[in-house]
Amino acid sequence: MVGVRNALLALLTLGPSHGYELKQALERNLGSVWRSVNIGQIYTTLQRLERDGLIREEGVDENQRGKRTYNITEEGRTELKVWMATPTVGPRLKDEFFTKFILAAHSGIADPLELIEAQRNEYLQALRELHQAAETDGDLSGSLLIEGSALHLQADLTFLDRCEEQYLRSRT
Amino acid sequence: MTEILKTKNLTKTYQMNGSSVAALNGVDIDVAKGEFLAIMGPSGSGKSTLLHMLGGLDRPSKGEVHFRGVRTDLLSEAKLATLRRQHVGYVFQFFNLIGNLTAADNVELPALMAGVAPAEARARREEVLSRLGIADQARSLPAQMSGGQRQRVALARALVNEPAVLLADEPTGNLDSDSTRDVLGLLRQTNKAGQTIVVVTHDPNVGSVADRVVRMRDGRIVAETHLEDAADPRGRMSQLIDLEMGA
Repeated sequence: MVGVRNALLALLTLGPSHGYELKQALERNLGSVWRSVNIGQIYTTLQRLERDGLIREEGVDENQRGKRTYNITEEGRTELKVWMATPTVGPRLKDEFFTKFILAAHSGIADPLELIEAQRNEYLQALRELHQAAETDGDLSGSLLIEGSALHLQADLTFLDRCEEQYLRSRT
Repeated sequence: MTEILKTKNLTKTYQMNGSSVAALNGVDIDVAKGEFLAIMGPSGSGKSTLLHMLGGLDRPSKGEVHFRGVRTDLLSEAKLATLRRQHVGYVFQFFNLIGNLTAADNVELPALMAGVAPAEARARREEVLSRLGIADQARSLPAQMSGGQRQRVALARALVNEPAVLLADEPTGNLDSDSTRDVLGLLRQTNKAGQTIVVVTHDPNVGSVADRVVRMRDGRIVAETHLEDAADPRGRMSQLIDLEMGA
């Protein structure tokens, strides 16, 4: 799951950490979306991130019964920034946007308001193209599917408005 | 790019219960000839106030409004009213048609008020009613028409003087989905024929047909984006529908 990888990277921007601590931080922040992440998955993902040079082992924490502590590398930060800055394609992947949003608000790795704006623009562009498609497509199933997609996009846009309102409120 | 409207540091403060509230807080915006611009943002963000300033319906507390090179914020009431009648078309959320006039008379009235000769006003009214597909409603009263038809009449009325800019405040705010689609189609068609349009809206459907969308918050413009037509709308549609259907 690409999200776990990026979530671990985002959490590591807050400072060195080990697998179990990361699992707890994940549950605190994204528990409502990802109930199913197990510790094995975290360790495997950490190994892959280390293999890819995105994190580095900082050493073994003797106080924590010999747990391996990891830190994010420059390459890791770059990959995370690219992920954060890329709007999610299509309305069905809202969870990925939501993950980015929560992680950005929690870690400060990106500006949550900029994420919302980029996502909003992506949805508006998609909605425009649907309206264009509607002009070229006359049959019932085609036009209803277009309308259904457009309604989902409107709901997603309303959801972004709510994310923005609540985030602004949480800052004051 | 010819500029039709431009504001500099536009500011509007209202007095409310003894304290001053800023509805606009230093807005700089340009509108180019032929552009379709949407202003979006939450309630109270200042978007309607901005539209009123652009159209000379209200005056700023500070800052400048340039309409085709003229400082409208400095004009006398009388000159401003003339400019509005001749060069600005308005469409509102609640249509604002005159209830005891037929659709045709509602459309013709602004032409007469702008000093157009009666025969010419009549010819213009016929042309715009037929262009907007409501020629057969010409003799109906507003109360006899659906919301969508009323908004078409309101649009015809706004266009009868061939305004330099068409300003619309929540034009789909009171319409069902089918009428919304009709009105959006007409706005697009009107813009493609060269009409400059500035629309204030909550409705993302309206925002999505504009070429540029600015977003306001707390009396300021906080973001801007340009939208483009799809090279391949059908291909894009299949992609979006696959995502919707979880394929």
